[in-house]
Amino acid sequence: MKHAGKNRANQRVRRFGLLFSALAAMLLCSCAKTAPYEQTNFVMGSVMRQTIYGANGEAAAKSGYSAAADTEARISWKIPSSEISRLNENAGKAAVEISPETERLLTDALELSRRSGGAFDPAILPLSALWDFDSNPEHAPEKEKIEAVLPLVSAEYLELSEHSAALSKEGCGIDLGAVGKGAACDAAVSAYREQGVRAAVVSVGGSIGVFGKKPDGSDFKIAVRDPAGDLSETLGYITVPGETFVSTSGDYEKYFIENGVKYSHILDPETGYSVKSEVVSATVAAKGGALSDMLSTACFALGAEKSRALLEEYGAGAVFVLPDGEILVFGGLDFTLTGEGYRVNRQ
Amino acid sequence: MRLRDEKKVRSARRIAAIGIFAALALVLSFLEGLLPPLPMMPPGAKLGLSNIVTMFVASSQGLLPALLIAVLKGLFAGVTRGFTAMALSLAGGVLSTAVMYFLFKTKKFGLIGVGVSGAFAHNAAQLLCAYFLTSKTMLWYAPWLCVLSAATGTLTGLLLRAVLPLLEKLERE
Amino acid sequence: MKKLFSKADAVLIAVLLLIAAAALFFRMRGSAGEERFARIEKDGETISYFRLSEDLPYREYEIGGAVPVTIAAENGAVWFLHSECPDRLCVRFGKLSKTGETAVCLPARVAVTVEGEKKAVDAVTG
Repeated sequence: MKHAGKNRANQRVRRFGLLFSALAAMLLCSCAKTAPYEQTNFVMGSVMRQTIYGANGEAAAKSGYSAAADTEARISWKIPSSEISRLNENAGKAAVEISPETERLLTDALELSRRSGGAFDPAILPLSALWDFDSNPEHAPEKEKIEAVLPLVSAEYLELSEHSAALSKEGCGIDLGAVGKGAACDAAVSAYREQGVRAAVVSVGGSIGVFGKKPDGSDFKIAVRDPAGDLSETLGYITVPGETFVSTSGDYEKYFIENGVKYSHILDPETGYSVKSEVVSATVAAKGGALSDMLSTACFALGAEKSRALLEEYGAGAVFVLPDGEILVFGGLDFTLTGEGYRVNRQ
Repeated sequence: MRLRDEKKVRSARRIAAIGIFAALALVLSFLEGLLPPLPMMPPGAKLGLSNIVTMFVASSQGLLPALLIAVLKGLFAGVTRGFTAMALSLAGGVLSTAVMYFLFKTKKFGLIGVGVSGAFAHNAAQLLCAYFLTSKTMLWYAPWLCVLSAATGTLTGLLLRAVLPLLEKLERE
Repeated sequence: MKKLFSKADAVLIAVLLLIAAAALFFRMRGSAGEERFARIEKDGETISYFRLSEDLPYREYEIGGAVPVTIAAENGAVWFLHSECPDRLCVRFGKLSKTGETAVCLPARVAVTVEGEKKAVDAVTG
């Protein structure tokens, strides 16, 4: 009798134990932190920011950073040991061997240069080195010097064959400065995929890559900086799914004013001077990082209307900010306006 | 300390026992201080191992001796870790001891229940104290401390059950 | 021998856990009291990470190196107080207090970020 009672009590204790385990499990679930791992670093003379969701955020950020740094070491014309430097040194002389990554990047650049009618040109080095916007210049180069280098600027000098590249004219050169940040985003996202992260956001300068699906299931919101506002002000945001890359080109990013003339860092291979664009900025969302960089440069130079066909060819979306405050949204991009003094016109 | 109608020998033995328990509590709380901080918990949150002692004393010796040990523990914290630590320890220790004593008196609760209530009272008092003495953001930890109390209180109850024969022997001798 | 566990104990623990669960649930729904943290990094390495509470007492972080900077934090905000860099762009960012806000000093390779669970946006382009 006593024994039976004890057994029943034991049973009850066990049942309660089960109940508590369930409760404890529920609590643990509700407190499972969804806070991502965040890291800010520096690459290509820009800020590289990584936000990584899921386990092993730190390891993924580390490999994301080295992937971006490796990209810089491969394609920067300023690093003497880079593939692009060797290509430039051998201009007019010989073909050089290049890695599959660089080959793909140059192939895409050449293709886009052709399709955009030269609005984007990877062979702009003779001109960009003359202006040297990276060293915060205050004077425009002399007209004669610009005219002297113009004949050297053409993507047509770039010849690609399997695993090798050549520049057919001495003195010409490749400058991938306009696509480096996007290419770094590409490399970082590949690293995330290999590491099996759940979701991630990488930005190098103003170039952004998003990957995976956030734990709360929502899409990624990418704010667009307000060209007229202060450093931290934004005019709205676009909402994009994972595997999207976003990039912006504008004349407000890097410029100087001399004798009342504004010289911005996006150069026109035709004139040798800063692009005189009809838009203030062009933000492009595409399926690749380097691609979105190239497209945004081309779209900024071409202006909204002439960009339409190009964007459609690449299945990309874009947001153009016009000087009068009109915002043109192309390709059905999900854009939400938050800034004042603007109006949205969906194309 | 007034011990009415007690034979001298018994009272002396009792005082000695309380002294031993007080020392035990201090040693336990010191050892606990050597453990790494708990995640998701405010700085200073602990398992409350020394609660085992106050809990046992509250059940076997009565309210006053148990409170005495809690106060001693608080003073010890004051000497070793400063005023804030003393205030926190006193608030937590005194309240939890009182709560545990009254729960034992009801005879409705088991060792685990008393342990959990004690841990909860300890944490609640400390949290309120910290709220006024240090930072208002301390309240952020409140829900976590409820969970912590349930866990550490259960642990205290189980541990006490395990060492109960030992303590009772200590008390008798 | 004293009993170890009783029905009253079970009820007590259940009530305690329920209160905790309810409190956590409501806190997660209400974003007003969202917790924010400040992270200070140099070269991608976190130098300091602290809760950015509304009643945070004033504090300063001096970060040495080729380009020394000073970062200050107080009352839920963090900012570049001083920098030896040429353009002082980092100081121009002003006080950061909203989740996701960030300021960097490129020459010093120092970044300050406000982190929390509810970001307004995931990144900024332009």
